[in-house]
Amino acid sequence: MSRKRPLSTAQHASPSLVDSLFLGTPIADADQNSFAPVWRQEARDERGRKRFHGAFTGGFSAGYFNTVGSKEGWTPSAFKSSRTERAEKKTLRPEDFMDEEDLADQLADERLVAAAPFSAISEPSSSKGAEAGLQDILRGAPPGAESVGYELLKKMGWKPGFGIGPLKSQVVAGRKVMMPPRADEAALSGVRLERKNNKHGLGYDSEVPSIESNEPTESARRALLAPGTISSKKNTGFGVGVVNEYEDGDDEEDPYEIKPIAYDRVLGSKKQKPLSGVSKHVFVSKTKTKSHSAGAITTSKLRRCHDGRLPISGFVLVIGGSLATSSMLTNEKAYTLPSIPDSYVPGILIMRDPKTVVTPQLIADFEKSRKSSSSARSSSIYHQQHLSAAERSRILGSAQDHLQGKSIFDYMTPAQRERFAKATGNQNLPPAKSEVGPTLSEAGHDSGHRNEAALLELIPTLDKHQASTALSAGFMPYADDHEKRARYIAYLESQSGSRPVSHLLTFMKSGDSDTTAGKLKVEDWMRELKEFNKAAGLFRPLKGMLANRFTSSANAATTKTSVVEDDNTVLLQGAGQGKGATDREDVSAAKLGMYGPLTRRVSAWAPSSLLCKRFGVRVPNMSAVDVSGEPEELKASARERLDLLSHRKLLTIAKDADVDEEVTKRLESQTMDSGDGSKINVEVNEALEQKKAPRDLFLAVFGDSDGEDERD
Amino acid sequence: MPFPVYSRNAPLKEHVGPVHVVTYNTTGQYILSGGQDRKIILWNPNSSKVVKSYIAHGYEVLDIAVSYDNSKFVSCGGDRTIYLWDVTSGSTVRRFSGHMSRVNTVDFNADASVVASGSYDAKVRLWDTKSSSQRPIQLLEEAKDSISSLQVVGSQIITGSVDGYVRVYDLRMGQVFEDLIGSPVTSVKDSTDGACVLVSTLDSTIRLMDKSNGTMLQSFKGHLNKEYRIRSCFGDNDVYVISGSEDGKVYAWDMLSGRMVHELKGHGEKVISCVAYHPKNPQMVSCGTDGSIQVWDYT
Repeated sequence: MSRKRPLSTAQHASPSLVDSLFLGTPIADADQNSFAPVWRQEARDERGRKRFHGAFTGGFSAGYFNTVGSKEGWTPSAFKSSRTERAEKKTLRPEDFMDEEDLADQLADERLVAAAPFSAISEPSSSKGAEAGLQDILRGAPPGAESVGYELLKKMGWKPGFGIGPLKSQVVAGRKVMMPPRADEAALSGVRLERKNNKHGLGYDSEVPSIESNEPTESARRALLAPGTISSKKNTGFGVGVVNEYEDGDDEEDPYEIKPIAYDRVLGSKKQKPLSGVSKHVFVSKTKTKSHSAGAITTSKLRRCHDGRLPISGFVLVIGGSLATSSMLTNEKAYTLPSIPDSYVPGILIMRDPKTVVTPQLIADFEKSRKSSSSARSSSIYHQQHLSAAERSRILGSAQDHLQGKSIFDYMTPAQRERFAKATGNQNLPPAKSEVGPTLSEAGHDSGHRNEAALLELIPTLDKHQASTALSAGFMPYADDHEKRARYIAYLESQSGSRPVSHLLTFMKSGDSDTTAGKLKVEDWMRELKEFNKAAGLFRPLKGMLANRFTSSANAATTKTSVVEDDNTVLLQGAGQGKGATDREDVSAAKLGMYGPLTRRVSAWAPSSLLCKRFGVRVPNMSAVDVSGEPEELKASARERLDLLSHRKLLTIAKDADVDEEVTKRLESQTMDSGDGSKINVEVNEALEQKKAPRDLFLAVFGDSDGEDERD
Repeated sequence: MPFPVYSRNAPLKEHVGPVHVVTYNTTGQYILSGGQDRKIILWNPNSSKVVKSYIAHGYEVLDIAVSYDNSKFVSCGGDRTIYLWDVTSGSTVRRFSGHMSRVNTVDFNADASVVASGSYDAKVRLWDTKSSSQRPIQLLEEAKDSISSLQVVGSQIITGSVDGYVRVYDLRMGQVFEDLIGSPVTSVKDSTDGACVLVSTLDSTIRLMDKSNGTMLQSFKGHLNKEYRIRSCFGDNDVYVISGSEDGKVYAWDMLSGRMVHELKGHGEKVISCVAYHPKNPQMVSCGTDGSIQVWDYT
């Protein structure tokens, strides 16, 4: 045990603790938080901000933490006018809401891409192809914006018009000179004229993910896109989860969507790249582009122009011959024609009846017959090749017989034919016959006479009885068109026999030249007649009871039912009578001026007692009121009578309206029990005639007791 | 007595807009008139001076009836309410409301204890002036269309409706007599002896109907009445039948013969909506849509 320690060991201790011994490493000044009990520990994030605001601990913080004001809540602060600073919009960027995690994700997504001027070398003016240039102009790109590569080339001594590459020795004016290579316009221009080998539509975009069914996984997706392209869909990023495709809230991708079949998928397509044009930010040499496009066509096969230059990439020079036969234009394989056997004789087997079964026997017979005929005619093939159209149509049995094989040349004059021949250069036109075609008027007249009889037959017929009932119906349709109504009536009359049917033809225009007003064209006339035919079935007169229940609108239209108030005065316009198709008795009597019993109606009316008191009259005895006429009947056995009446009325209505037979039978079978049945025997009343209680009981209840109830 | 044919004084032009109703009081000393301008004016017809104005209505005034003692009168109009006025004080004593549309006509009974009102809503309401009840004593609902005119005579209530019927409600007998006239009825007036009813209709005819059996006793034609409510009345103890017209003339017929005896021009071609005859003297008053009230005298 050493009492005195050397000074060196006591160096670490604080001056006040010189004598104390230190063993072990002192506890680092850890935050007191972790050693406090749980309920005292405070949750803070790495920036020192408090997490889990007041609500969790049971306190009220009034939105203070991380938001506004103070512990006590919103603290009023001095008003700062934004009148002058209104234009300043505090735009919040997504970055403001991100935490570290999100920011890290965002960084991970960033890629370095060459900006537009740097992305590809292209000549300024020539590269502006139709679309690309237009787009740039619309975007407001300054004219003459050139790619940086172009600028660099120029700075290094390159001039537009030259190719790119080492100087080549060429013979110019008899001397060997080193010259820059010949320019290939296509190499510098952004326009790539590439052959379209696929069968997509012109605007097809393989990157559009609408048609995708087989490979929803990300890796496959990436594989489908050409390497080096920027994925247009951000697979990672703020707000995008792992399985990003289906988290967009059904904007674009519905996980349950049944996508249409993608027809452009090829087996083993994972390794293939889409064939759409891809802009590469690498300068592409001439040969490579050629090999990508146009498939089988290599440089060696191309023909050159007269000056030795190659045609523009994507184009093939074709000299002579017909385009169609140039196999160079198609990648397709040329298939040879099938070999025709020597014994083949061209001919047609026409079957009159398509239902005949084609048996080998039939074919053999046909062949035999043909062969026999062909031997007769030496130049049968030749002959058949020179069948005229008329003969062919005749053989085929075509329906256009009426044309009778006339051609336009029949109607032309020779002079006109010569003009045709000169224009087409074809002297083999049929001879001109200068016929006169059928004129309209002739056709019209002929058809008119021919068709009148036919038209009369086409008029729809109506049953005579039906027509006459329709005529007698109270209501005639077409109230707004009197002419039409007249025609309808004429039709009905013609069908009921009172008018000749040919009279109906007077309503029809006799030809195109007939411009009489009121007459109809043939089609309209025919259509109208059919309409009348149908209408006649509808507008039948109502019978019996039903007629009383329905009123025609014609009567209603004539009555004035409105009460109109003028600015200044009170007008009273009344409803005219017009109830029902037939006037009631009293109405007609009033019309005639025969006022009296017919127009008078007396009914019972009970004044209230207070009213009578006020008027100073005695309240009348209503039961004694003798009211003549219907009301009396109503009082006596009113209900029964009503039932009877209604039943009878029902029956008559049913019968009139041609109601289903069963229903009427059922109605009839309903015995009028309400009226006749339940006969009441006046003599006997069961309720009263019951056996009286036995006398003992009677006395016990009501009899004298021993003075119990006696009172003074 | 001679018929008053002279319009001595200038017409009274206090109203603004058409005058719908004009009536004498029971003595004939005063006239009450009501018009589109919502005012009721009490006049002295002889001096042509305005005595009092009664202003309370919210809408036009369509009818006025004076009580038997001239102390009260009742008025009705477009505001669906019936106002009971006190003549001298000029204030509204009571208001009866309950009608669902404008009230076209109103009348007192003999002792002014009951007010009968007929409305566009086809109902007649009988109100009690003695009690303070808000509801009518009785409702007469037989009519199918607007009640254009009514009169309470003794123990009978005569109503004329646009549905073409004249209905006489007899309290004593407990019956209602419905007479079909044919055209919309615009005015009903009982005769002095109570035996017949003068009915004006929209077919330019005035008919005198017998109350007992509903027959027509006489008809009067010559005036024009096709659209508006024109009222007619008896004159000179039922000797004459007087009516306004839509052509601006006052017509008078002899009741017994039906012959037109007078055609008086006034109110400048405008509709003469109401005429009233003095209870005793040969004097009458007419009012029209031109806003003027004309007093006619026999000298």
